[in-house]
Amino acid sequence: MIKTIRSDADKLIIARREIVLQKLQKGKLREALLIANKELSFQKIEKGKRAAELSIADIELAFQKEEKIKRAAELAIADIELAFQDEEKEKRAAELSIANIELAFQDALKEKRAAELIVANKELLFQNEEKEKRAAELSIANKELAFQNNEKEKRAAELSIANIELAYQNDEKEKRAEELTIAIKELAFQNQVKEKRAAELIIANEELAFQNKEKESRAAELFIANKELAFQNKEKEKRAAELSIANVELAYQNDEKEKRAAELAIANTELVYQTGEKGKRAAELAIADIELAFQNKEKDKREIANREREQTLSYAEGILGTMREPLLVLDKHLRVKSANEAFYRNFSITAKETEATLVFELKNRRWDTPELREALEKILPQKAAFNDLEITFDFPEIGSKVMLLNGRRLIQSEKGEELILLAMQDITEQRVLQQRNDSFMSMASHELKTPVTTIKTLVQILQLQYRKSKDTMLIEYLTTIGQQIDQLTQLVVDLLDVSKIKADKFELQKKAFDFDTLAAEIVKSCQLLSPQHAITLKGKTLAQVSGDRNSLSRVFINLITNAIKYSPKANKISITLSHTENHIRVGVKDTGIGIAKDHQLKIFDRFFQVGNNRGQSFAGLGIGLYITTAIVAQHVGHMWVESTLGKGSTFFFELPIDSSEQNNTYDQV
Amino acid sequence: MTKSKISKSKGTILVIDDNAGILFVLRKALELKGYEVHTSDTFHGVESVEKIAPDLMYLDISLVGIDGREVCQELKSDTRTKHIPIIILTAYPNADELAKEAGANDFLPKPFDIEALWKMTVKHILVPAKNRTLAREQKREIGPILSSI
Repeated sequence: MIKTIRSDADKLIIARREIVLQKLQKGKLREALLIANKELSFQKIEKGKRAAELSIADIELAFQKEEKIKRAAELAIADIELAFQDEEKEKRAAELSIANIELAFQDALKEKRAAELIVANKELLFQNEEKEKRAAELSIANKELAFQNNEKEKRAAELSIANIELAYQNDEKEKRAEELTIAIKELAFQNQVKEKRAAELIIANEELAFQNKEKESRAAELFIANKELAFQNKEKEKRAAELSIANVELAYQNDEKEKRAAELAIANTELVYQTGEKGKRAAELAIADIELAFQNKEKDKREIANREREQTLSYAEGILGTMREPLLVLDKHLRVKSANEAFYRNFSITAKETEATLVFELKNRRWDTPELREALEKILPQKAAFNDLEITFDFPEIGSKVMLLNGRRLIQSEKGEELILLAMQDITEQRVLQQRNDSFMSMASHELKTPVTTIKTLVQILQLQYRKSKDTMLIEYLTTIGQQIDQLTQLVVDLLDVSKIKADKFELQKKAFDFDTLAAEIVKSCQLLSPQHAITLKGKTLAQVSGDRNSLSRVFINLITNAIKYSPKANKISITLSHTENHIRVGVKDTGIGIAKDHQLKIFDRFFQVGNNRGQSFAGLGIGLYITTAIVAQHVGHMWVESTLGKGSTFFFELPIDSSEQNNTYDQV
Repeated sequence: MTKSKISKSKGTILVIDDNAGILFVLRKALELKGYEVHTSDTFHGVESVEKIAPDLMYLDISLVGIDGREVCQELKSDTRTKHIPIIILTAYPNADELAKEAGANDFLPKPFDIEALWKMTVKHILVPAKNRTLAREQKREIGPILSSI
């Protein structure tokens, strides 16, 4: 039993041990389980993480797929674009080749045209030569005609001699008369033939003018053709430029990166520029400051000046009130701002009727004349002034008044208001006297002409009849009477010219002529007038002048005879001809008595004559220079004098050069 | 009217001017050249002019009682006298305008030169009526010779 017990106890111990062991094992297992659990949960977490990563990767993949599709689309678009550009390029190339063909064709045309031009030029040259030949022939014909004229005149002279003789020779009278009639017939024929020739000459001239026109129109056509070619060339250049622009565009699209870099560089440059601008602005501001300071100073100065002006204003008003000449001050709307006493008195008008009234409305609009309107309306906008504007007013109650008006722009500075000062002078009476004087002169010279003509013709008849007489006293008397009558005739003509100039009836027959020829002729004939003076001619105008040859001869002769007349103790007169681009200039220089400074303008007036300080006087009416100036002025030229008292004078006149080409007019004989 | 004494002349000229001095010198100056000259101090009507049958007329503008321009217009509008060349003789400055107005052939402003008077006469005078046929014949002979020069 014990043994069993023991074995039981052992068995218990063993069991206990086993339990303990099992417990231990259980603990170990529990630990292992715990570890395994932990590992499991870790693995679970990892698994979650992985799943998350996978979903991210999926999203990424999906995104990458989309990107890929997008790229593919972009590529497809780019391909289409490239294909399109290629097509465009081909099209352009085709166009260019067409354009080239066209240009080549145009070049050929151009060459053809150039050839035609050369031919046309040659033809023109030929026509010019022909024309010159014709002109030469015409001048020969003219000379021939002139020669025939001379011949005719000679014959006429011979005939007159024959007639005088006939009067005395009764026997041969009838025979001679018959001869004379034949001669007249012949002359009549010659006249007719001459007229025919003259008519032919006119026709020839017209033809020449027509050819000239034709020539001009051809030249104009050629000019237009040239312009067209130039235009086509430009078109070509434009196309080439367009193509090169397209190429440049393509290059740009290929190299976006470079563009960006360039843009950046530009931006940088701009920044630098803006910095510079900022500096400039600062400098400008500094200048503006200086200016402001200056303006402030000016303002101070002005204030002082204004105070002074106010003081002078009352002074001025005092003067205006006592003035005898009428005076008006108008505002910028031409309303009367103020008038002086003389104005009210002169025009029988009150201050009430005048002030704040429009100037043209004064006196029932009698002041509303186009001349005054034009002159007044110019003053303010053009900052102009006018002097001696002559206006005739017809006032029903005070009659007709001739006024000389001066107009000026004034600025009333404290307000900056623009005003017009209108000063007047009543010249009614003066004008009436002058008109009476002019009409008297016109009448007197008209009435003088008849007796002058009678005496002149009689003297000429006597001179002709007694030219072979041996009575020297008779010849001498007749010569003197003839000379005096010529002087008288000239005076009468001059007097009438003056009244014509005054009445604006002085007329010119303008025609182009060679001025140098005229000058040479006149110097030659003036030399005959005064052999004791050496008249020299220097220089050339080399120009055609369009004018009245007779009147201009008179200008020339007047100046030369004046030079002779006013240099009794000198013996040299020099004439110089010169020209500028548009004008010819003539100077007539003497070394005579000269003209005092204060007389130098007056000598161009009517009836003014220079005497010297010893009371020496010169013959004449003092109208030569007046007429001379009027003639020059009518040719749109002008005249002046440079002179030193006691040393001599130089008279100048300038005339515009005739630039027209119609100079080949032939005199009709 | 006064008539010149020369019987066979280069042509007949009628001068109308109210100034006796002008009539006298024109007569003398024109007779010197062999013209037959009639003078009158006024206008006696178209008939009197037709009777004289002048080959040229000098006519003053300011006649007593009548305007020379009217005389000229009357003569130029009458078939019997309109062929007669008329030269206006005047001291008025605008002789050219007056002559144009009158319908005259030309004008000679006073004071004139004797040479100018003669030239004006030769320029306008008609070939005298009695010589006209002869002149036409001669024209045929001389014409070709002259034009060949």
